[in-house]
Amino acid sequence: MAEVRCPLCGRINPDDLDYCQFCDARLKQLLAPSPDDLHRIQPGQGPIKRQTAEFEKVKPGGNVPIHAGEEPTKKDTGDLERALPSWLKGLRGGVDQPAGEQGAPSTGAAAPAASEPDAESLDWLAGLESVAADDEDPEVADWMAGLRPPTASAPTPDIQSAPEQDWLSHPDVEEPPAAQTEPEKEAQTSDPDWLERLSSTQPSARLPGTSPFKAAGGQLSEPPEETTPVVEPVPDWLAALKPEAAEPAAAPDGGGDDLPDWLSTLPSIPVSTTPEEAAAAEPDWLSNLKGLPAASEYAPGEAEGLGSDWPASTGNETSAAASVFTEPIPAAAPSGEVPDWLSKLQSDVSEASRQEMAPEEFETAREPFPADKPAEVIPDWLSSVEAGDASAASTPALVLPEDSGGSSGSGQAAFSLETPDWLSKLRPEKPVEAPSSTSEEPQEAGLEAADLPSWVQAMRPVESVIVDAQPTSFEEIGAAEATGPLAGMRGVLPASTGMAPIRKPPAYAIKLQMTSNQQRYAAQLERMIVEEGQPREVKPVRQFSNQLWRILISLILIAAVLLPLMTGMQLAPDMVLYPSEWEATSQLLDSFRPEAPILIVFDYDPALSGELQAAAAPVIDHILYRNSRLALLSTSPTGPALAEQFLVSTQKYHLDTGLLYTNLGYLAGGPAGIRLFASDPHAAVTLDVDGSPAWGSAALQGVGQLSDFAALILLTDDADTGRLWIEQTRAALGTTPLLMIISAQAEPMIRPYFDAGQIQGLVTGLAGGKAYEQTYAAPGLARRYWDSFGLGTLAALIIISIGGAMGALASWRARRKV
Amino acid sequence: MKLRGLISTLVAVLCGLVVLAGYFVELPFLVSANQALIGWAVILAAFAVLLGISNLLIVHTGKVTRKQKGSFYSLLLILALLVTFAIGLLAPYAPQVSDLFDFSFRAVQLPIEASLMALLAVTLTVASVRLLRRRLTLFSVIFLLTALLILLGMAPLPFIGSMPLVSDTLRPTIAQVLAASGARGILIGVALGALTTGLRILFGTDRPYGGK
Repeated sequence: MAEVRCPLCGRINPDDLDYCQFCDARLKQLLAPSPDDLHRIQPGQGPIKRQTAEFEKVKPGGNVPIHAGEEPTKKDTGDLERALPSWLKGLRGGVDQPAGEQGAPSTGAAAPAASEPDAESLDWLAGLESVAADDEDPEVADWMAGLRPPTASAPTPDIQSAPEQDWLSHPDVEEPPAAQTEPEKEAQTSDPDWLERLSSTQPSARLPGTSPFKAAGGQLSEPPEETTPVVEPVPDWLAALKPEAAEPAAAPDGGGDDLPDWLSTLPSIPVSTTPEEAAAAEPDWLSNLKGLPAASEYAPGEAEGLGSDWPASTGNETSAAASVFTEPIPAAAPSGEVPDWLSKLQSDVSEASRQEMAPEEFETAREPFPADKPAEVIPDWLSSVEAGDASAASTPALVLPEDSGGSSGSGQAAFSLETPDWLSKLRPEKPVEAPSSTSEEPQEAGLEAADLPSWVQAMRPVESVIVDAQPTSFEEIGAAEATGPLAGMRGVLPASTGMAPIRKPPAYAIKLQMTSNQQRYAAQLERMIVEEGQPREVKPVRQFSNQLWRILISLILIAAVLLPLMTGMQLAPDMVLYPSEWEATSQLLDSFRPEAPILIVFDYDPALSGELQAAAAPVIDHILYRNSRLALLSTSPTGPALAEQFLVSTQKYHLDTGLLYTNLGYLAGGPAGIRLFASDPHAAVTLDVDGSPAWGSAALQGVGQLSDFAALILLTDDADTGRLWIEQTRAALGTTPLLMIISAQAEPMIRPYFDAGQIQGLVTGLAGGKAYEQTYAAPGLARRYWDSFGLGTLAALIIISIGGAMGALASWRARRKV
Repeated sequence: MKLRGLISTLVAVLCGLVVLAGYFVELPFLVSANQALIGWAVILAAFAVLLGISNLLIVHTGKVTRKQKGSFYSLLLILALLVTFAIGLLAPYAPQVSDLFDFSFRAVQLPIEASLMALLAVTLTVASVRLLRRRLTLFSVIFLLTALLILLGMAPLPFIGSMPLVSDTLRPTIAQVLAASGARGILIGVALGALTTGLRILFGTDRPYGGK
């Protein structure tokens, strides 16, 4: 079973543990691997086939491998220009700036040195400057052109020393260039301070060189971060390292600088790893390389890029590093002291091959990162490599987000509730620290693969940004807890509903879920709709037409009325109950003095002449028996004719015996005419219907005013007419009584005046006339109409009752049916 | 307001005030003025009748000349109008013409109008039968029951005469209490409306005689 050494306490833990069983530090890396890690062939995987033909063309050093200890020859890498892509040419000058912003990869004490000869860290491109200075690539965007520093063409570094440090600083690029050919020279020229200290204390000097333990001195006192899983006390395993073995470990530190001395002495340095550790960390393919001197193969960046195995590999760093570093060279058989892969590199790899690798990186970068191999802590020097790669090869850097996206799952898993406090605190700080350029940033930036400068992030394709946005939003969602046991922790508690990452909407069944009742209702509705669309047969219903009903009702009524008239039978007995006004009216008529002039106004329509004649005939007859003189007047154009017709039809007896009457005719003007007649009768009417002077007749002798009449009798069927006469003549009448013979239909409107005393006598309809006829006259018109009136009314009553009941029943049935 | 409107309003208000004063004050001047104004109103009303007859004659003559639909009936109306008018003018001076005038009234106008009233009785009966079929509501039922009660209480039933309790109690109560109460309310409303209208005319607010 493999073992993992805790980066914090340095103790050995089983490989299947995520956290150290001694200090609870996280053993497995959380960050996304660098793109170079993805390109690295993992143990058990086959090597990636790469096109090296171009390298062969531009290989500056020929095919002669450079062995360790040999002095590298100066090479002109300007030949590589034609192999460079245009975007890289444009970035040539600008690469320095981001590299400088991010600081030297190894930083620590060497940070100033790394910033000074900034071009030195990219010396592998130094030979391209001359060409690139004149190159005006139209394809380079403005912003990218702006990345070029003003001193883009400035110091032309030593192309012999730069590659040396470069391949060390970019060990995972699997092309350790010719730098190995001049390790001593580089070590003499640009050894950083820490490296100088390493010469005296080799075991401890390895720590800052290998990025996880680069924290030298004060940096170790800082809270452990994901990017610096270094503990202040040197772990046991580190302390147990032999000085000889630690010496080559300082080489990565010089990855950003010059080639240290130890590189020149690599062949003479024995392998410092113990057999047990080496066996645990070595894959199968690496077992074939056991005979190789591990120190020469060791590349700390590679060791850390191994993922969770890097602590173990640090224990036997030489062998572990060899296992990684030799991954692109499995086919290169070791030869002599220098391993074959190194020899192969020395012979094959060059600056041009480094440039040509970029397109291949695009392809390999999209390979999914193993989910079971989460990103590990990336040492500073490796982060610088990443930054350098990202800045130098801007286009390949666009692939990085996808890698990070691929590791987002592991990143999210790292932010689960099991995340230790120190790691939870670290995560939110990343976006803040990313764009800064302080001295401490480089180490963090080197550890966090997703922590790219803004200008690099802007270079990423849209899809990469989108993928990368998910974990970022998730981190932003997780607000730091202010109180409670979770104080200071961020992202521990799940985010709120609305802030949660967008999920794929759940799939719902398309089939509608309905209950049985709903299905029944739906079926009914559907059936109703279908029935509405179908024509419905109209059943012929036999029913009596309205016209037939009308004719039938008319025949019944006519028969009921005509039957008494034609047969002369008297079915209805005489009145027993007299109207209430009968007594007052009777007394009034009895009070008329004989031969008194009486004004009778015929203001009714011919249509109601039958009723009014029957009602008025007994009263007028009663008056004429007192030899009263009559003045006939009318406000209706038909009134004078009706008056004549009334006398002729009802008072024939009195006419024959010398009745004195004067027909004053029609009184025009309506209310004004009545008012005029009331105030001055002579002015209102001057001639009678025959054209004779009205007031000179015998009937109107002694009548000068309205009050001179003994009584004013108004025959009307209209309540308004009666009201006009009351209103206009009341003042002029004085004590002259006003008596009205009205139709039954006008009774409700006229009776109030009778009750109020404004009219003194009232005879209403056929019943009133029948009452007077029964009292004061011989049976006449009222009696004749009485039976017809009664039978006809009874027939109408029966018809209305039966018809109304049937209609109500039919209507009720229709409502129930609806 | 234009001068014409001002004059007409002034005349209307003055005439109204004079006539109104004649109801309350019996001054000779006011009485004479009152009667003169009312006499003018009667003459104008008589001329208004003649004006209406003339307008009727013109309209129907136009229908006949344009041969519109129903022009035949318009022709009959014009002929009847002219004949009756001529008979009426000649009646005072010719007894035979006067008898003809009375005969035309008794033989034509009186039977026609009486027949129309008889048809109205049949129509009302049919309408009462169909009332509940068309509109079965509470008020329809009340209306029909009231009509039946009035008929039953007013009609002399064969062999029994008046219906006890209905003829002497229900029918008088309905006709003389309920109906009279409603009629009084209507009359009071009419009186108030007439008063208001008279005041508005006197104040010149309403100008039915024209003028804005």
